[in-house]
Amino acid sequence: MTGFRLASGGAGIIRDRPLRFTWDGEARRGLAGDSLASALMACGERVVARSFKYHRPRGITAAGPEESGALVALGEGARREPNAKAPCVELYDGLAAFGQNAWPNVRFDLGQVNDLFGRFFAAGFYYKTFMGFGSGTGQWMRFEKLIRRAAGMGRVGGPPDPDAYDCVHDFCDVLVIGSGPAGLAAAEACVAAGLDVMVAEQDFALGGSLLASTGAVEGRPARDWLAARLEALRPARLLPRTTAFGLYDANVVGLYEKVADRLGAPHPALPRGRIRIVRPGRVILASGALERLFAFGDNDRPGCMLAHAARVYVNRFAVAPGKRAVVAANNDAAYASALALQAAGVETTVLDIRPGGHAAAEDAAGAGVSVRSGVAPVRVRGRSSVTGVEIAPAPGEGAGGEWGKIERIPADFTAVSGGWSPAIHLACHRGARPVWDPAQCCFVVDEPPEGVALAGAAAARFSLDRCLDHARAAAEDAAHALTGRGRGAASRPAPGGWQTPIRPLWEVAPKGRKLKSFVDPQHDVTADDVRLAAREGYSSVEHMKRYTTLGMATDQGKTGGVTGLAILAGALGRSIPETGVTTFRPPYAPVPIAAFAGRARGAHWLPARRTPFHEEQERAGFRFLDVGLWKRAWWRKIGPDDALERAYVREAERVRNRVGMVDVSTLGKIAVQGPDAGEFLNRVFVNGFAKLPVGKCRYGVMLRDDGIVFDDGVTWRLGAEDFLTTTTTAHAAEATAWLETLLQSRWPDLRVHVSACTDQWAGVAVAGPMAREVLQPLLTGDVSDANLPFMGILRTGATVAGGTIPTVIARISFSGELAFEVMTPAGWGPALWRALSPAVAAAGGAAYGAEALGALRIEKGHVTGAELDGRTTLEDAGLGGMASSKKPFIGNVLRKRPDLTRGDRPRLAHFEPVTEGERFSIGAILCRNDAVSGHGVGWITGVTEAPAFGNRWLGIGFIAGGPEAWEGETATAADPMRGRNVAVRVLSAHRWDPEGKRMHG
Amino acid sequence: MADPRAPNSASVPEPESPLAGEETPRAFGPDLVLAERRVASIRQLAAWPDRLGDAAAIAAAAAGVDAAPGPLRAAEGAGGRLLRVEPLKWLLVVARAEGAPDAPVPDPPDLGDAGVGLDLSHAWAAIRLDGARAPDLTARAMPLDLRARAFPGGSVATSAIHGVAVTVDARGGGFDLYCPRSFALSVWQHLCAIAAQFAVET
Repeated sequence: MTGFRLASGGAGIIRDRPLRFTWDGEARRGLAGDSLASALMACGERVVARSFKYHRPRGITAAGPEESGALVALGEGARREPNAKAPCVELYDGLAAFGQNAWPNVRFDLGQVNDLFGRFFAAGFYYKTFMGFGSGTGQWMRFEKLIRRAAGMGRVGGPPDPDAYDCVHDFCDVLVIGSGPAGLAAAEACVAAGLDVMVAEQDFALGGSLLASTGAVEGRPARDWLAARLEALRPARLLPRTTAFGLYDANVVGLYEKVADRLGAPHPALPRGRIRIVRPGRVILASGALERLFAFGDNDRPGCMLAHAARVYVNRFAVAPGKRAVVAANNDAAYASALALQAAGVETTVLDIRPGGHAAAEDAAGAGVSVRSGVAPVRVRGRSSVTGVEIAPAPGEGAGGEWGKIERIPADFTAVSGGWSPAIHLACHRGARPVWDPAQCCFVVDEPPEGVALAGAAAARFSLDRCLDHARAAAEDAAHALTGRGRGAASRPAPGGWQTPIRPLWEVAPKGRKLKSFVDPQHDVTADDVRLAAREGYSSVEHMKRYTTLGMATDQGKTGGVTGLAILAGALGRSIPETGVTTFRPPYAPVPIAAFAGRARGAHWLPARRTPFHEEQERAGFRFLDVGLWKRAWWRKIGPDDALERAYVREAERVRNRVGMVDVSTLGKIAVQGPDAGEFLNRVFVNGFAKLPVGKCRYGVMLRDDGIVFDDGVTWRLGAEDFLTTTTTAHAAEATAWLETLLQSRWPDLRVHVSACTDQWAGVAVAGPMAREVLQPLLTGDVSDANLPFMGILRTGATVAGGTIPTVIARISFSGELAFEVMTPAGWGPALWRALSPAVAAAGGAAYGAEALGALRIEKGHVTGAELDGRTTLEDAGLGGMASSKKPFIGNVLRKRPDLTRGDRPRLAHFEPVTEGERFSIGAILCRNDAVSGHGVGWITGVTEAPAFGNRWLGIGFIAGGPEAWEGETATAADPMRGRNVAVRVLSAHRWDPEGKRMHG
Repeated sequence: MADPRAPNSASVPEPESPLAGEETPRAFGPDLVLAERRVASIRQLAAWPDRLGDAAAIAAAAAGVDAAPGPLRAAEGAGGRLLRVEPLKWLLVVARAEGAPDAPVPDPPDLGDAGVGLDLSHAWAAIRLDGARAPDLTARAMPLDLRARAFPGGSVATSAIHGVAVTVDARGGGFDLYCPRSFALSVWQHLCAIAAQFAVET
């Protein structure tokens, strides 16, 4: 028999709002308020999925995130989403849903042949069969590809996810997780106490179990009670479609809110979903309890579901799963489902493992339900649907009892309740230890994490009255903790609440019957698999979980976790507390990976940092290089066939021969101010700054405490107590933090303030023999050598379109040519660039980029971050002479360690191929010619075609002993990755204008 | 650092905005407007620890307020708006005079031996958020509660948008977001991308 829509009822659906959707490409109809599961069931779909391993037919088993059968794919193309749980999918017009893990379809799947060989696919099958088979790991890796292709569930769409996602930061006094009776009662009490409340509900409708209730709550019909609570919660932020997936330190809660899933074709500006990071004062976890199954033969057949789910489908969606039900239970709760089914016209039989005569059984019998006490299902009959159930009387009290005679009764679906497990997952994310409550047959949290309270069924209060009282007590405590008002709850109801105690039942296994009894249907894990794991030594529940895959992936042990560990405990002869429980970790339910990225995708992957000249350079045809977050002009494309290799050489040649201008705004800039600024810099840099005259600048090097070079740059003395220190682009933030740390921790007595001011300035270096000629006409000041000598500073105006802008000019050079660094406040940067560009062009020059800048500095032998890589000493870099012997400075003691002063340490050098035309790469390992192996004796840090040296190939790097040790010898630049060795000459790195005539000119 | 002033301030051209070319102000639905707020000057005033009171008095006088604001607060007077951004530092923000963009900026206060001043007028770009949904936008961009009950007018905080340090000033029912100039366009575009949903969710 198949499911069908009932003629009446259904509190959650709107009968006059039909919705169209497709299932495996075929048109179907549902109603507004349906879930995909309820709509499929109403359409008579029995088999909606195939199982993970055996490809057994599977139907709808639940009405919430504990669904273990109806995993389906949604959408098509890039929006295809696999493994969606059909009960959690809100139906909308145009929804396209598909079966998955089956070929050609879930109704007839060739993969079901696996089921025939199921006995060979027990736990550990892959490991036993393929590991150690053939040639070990290599063989396994080949098989693994095939296994991965055959296993698994749905497949994601190929193209990138086209949707946007948000990440929202929320704050509130109290976050209530769950909108069932406990959640709503707690939230209402918190609102009444004047607290700022958020309520998160994973379902698309608020109300939790009330949505399936036709009874009364506190004397009012459930629907009215719910409506009244929602009205009272108007001041609160209610978030349906929002799953709390993780609870983290400091009570940070991760929520995932579905936003546009239900809209079919959402506007591209709308996010598909939102991660909400909530920082509440208190958390009330009213997440309810999850009904669990018990194991019996073929309990995974389509038509086997949880008892509460059957009630939800009947009462909320007006869908009957069939016409003849067997409700099998060990607790009172299933009777509500039986009554709902019976009231809907479903012929219902209750199999209660407990003795009869209790109130629930008598009420059910009075309503026409057939109640059979002391009986349980042994095996389901049927393959793609339920055709009957074999049942047997339970063993009597005491050990050694046997199941009674098996009998077959008719049924077209089963509804099982093996007990209830409070949804304590989130509390456990914060480290709470689950404790076994034998009376309630479930794990509970006795000591919730600080700031967290469990309420209602999540705290094992199972009757409605206890649930509500307990939730209100939790709210009272929260209000007291947050406001200091009130006294907190004086008492709270005890766990439990059922009229007749639950009787543990984990498996129905009559002696001599070979049954395929599933514990975790999602992963095809049977009770036999669990016992096999125990026999093979996986006695820890954590090991058993990983060996069998029980409770892994999207299930996370929701339905079969407790049952599995109880069976393990039985196999090991231990109690459940002795066996323990697996660790719950986030996420509680699947969250799209893309949601964690939020808006940080595509063009917004990282923030981009642009210099004030960016747009001007972009217009001029520059290509940009990512340097950290900076977009740095790299090289200028001047024609369709132009390429980097030609462009940078051309640009560098212009600097050597005429003039060029380059954007140096990315250099870090730190204002160092105060009466002790000079002394501070004296302690920080290896060379002296205290006596640097105002209006002068000086190159300096900072060491780390361990004597290794940290960074270098030029410091400008703009006033007696006013310095501007520049750093490398890469180390700007690090250097600022370092200076701030020194002031706050080591030398708080110094009157110095350091402030990052990189963004205040636009900087352009004008370099080349004609630099002065180009610059002078634009300036109101005099940049002659007499007025602005090497390392001098000049404040002057620059004439630009629209007026005159202020500038500060330093006579410094990175290229080895006559050069000026011109800085102006950033807002005037574009105007300065526009004024300089034509002047430079008129002199036969042009703007150049970072690649040419690199070529020029390699030729000149200047070090950059590539050389100052955290291993280099002053002496290694050829800067040992800078170290002052007259003052202490950071790193001065430890730089003299024996290993840092060895004569054979790698030192800076230039390298040229012995054979003209050959080239080597950055990263090449320098080796002695007779020992081209291992780590060698040095390495290459930069290479370029060098216009200054006849366009020969030139490298810079380090080699043991430095150039002096290699006079008359060559080395080998080895590139083992490319299998290329090049013989190189080792030369001084300071060969271009060693007297400095060009830059001093 | 002393200010590199132009020889003739009357002939100084308009500084260019890092948001030049962007549509500003830009509305996203009826309850959210993003705009650039052009300011005439931003001056950092940094006190020495033992002269904090003296520096505060000088800063307050410059801003034209009775007392310099305490940590994470702002105060506004005739001389500008004073934001306490660090334990020892204020920013004195002088707005562009309405209808008189070329109006001269008052000379920066001299802290004397109570501290040091630094011109950061070009270091920051100010993005202005107005409208009832401004806190909803900031909630999607930074981990701060900027709803009025938690962040009333006159509140100041520094946090991050898209990993970029941003100082927020609750002013006039909206927010001024001070972003490093080099990141301003990126932050603006990031905010606009998020804000687009508010034009749809009406």
